[in-house]
Amino acid sequence: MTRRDVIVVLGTLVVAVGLSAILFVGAAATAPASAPEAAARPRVFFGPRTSLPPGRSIVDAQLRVAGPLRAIVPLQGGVSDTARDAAGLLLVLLLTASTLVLANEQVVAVYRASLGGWRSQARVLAAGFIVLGLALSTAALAWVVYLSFVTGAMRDAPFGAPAALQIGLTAFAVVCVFALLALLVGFAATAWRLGDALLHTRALSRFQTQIPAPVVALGGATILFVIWQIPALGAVALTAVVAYALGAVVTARLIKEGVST
Amino acid sequence: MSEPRGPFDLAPEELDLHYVLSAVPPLAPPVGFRDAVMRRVAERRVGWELLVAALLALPSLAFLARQVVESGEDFAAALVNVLTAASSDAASASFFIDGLTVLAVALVGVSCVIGAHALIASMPDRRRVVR
Repeated sequence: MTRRDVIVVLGTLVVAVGLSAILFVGAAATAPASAPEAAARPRVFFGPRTSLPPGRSIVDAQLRVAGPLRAIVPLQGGVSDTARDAAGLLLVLLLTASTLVLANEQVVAVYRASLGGWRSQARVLAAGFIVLGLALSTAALAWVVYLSFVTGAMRDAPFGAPAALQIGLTAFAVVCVFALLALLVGFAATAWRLGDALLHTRALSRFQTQIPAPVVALGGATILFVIWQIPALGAVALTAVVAYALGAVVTARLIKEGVST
Repeated sequence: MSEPRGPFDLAPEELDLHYVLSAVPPLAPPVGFRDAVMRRVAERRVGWELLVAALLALPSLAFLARQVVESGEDFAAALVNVLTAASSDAASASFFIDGLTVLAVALVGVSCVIGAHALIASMPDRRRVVR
């Protein structure tokens, strides 16, 4: 192992010890209560009830934890609340990282296809909007045709309209899964491009060679996720990112196939 | 007899060393030597990545196992409620999950990604994983 690897392992060890302490305190503080104690809040709950039973107070939780670990109880509460709020960000980061690892060649191809100046970027974005419009109009027309078919030609079919609708919905879901896979590859490349563009700025250019590509991509994905949370701008940014990601995938596909005008 | 001449881009103090090295007769390396060298150069030690993945995964897995043992009925009840709500006409519902459970699940996912990267990078024919 190199010196850098040893530092990474030791850093992870420190993080793992800290996380273990937080998880241990969380498990002890929310463990099921004995008879005289207040009941703990359920770990996961879904139901029509709008109000949850109150969780244990910090003082109650501290009484269930031994000695020096009591100091961690408030921190554990904060980490728990933050992690619950950050579930979406964790999902985006996990999907981006797994796409970078498991579909590495595809992401690199899409990343290369999106290189270039502003003209190339505009072309990729335009291609994405075209593909997005094509997909939406195709899906809408397909549903119109299918619903007309179900309510018209299949009116007297023995299995009836509900079964036909379920088959249609299932087929549509399968198509959506394939589209989402392509979108994932494009999103990972887009996040990588955004991170790269930021690292080319004067303030960050000195870190350009030190930061590995996956970290650059995860940084870009984090920035995109944060932008999506802005009320009005978020929807516009989401549409633009989806269009750019699809456009980059299509551009990479065209370059690979050698299509030229 | 002419004086040996070195490349023009060498500094005067580098010429002596150049003469010495250029006097060594060329020798063909044994068969397989180049492949062995390239294997050593290209070989990636991924043990530390697996170690990092294990360090991140083990506490989270232990926490999740304890969650399932202690509060498995909470998860089962929530799943049943989700299935019931999907087929009912209830207008509203509430959802809550312990944040540490979310964190533990995410850490298991992150460690799986690191482990997958290590396994793919250690394959003989797959060395193009971007670092």
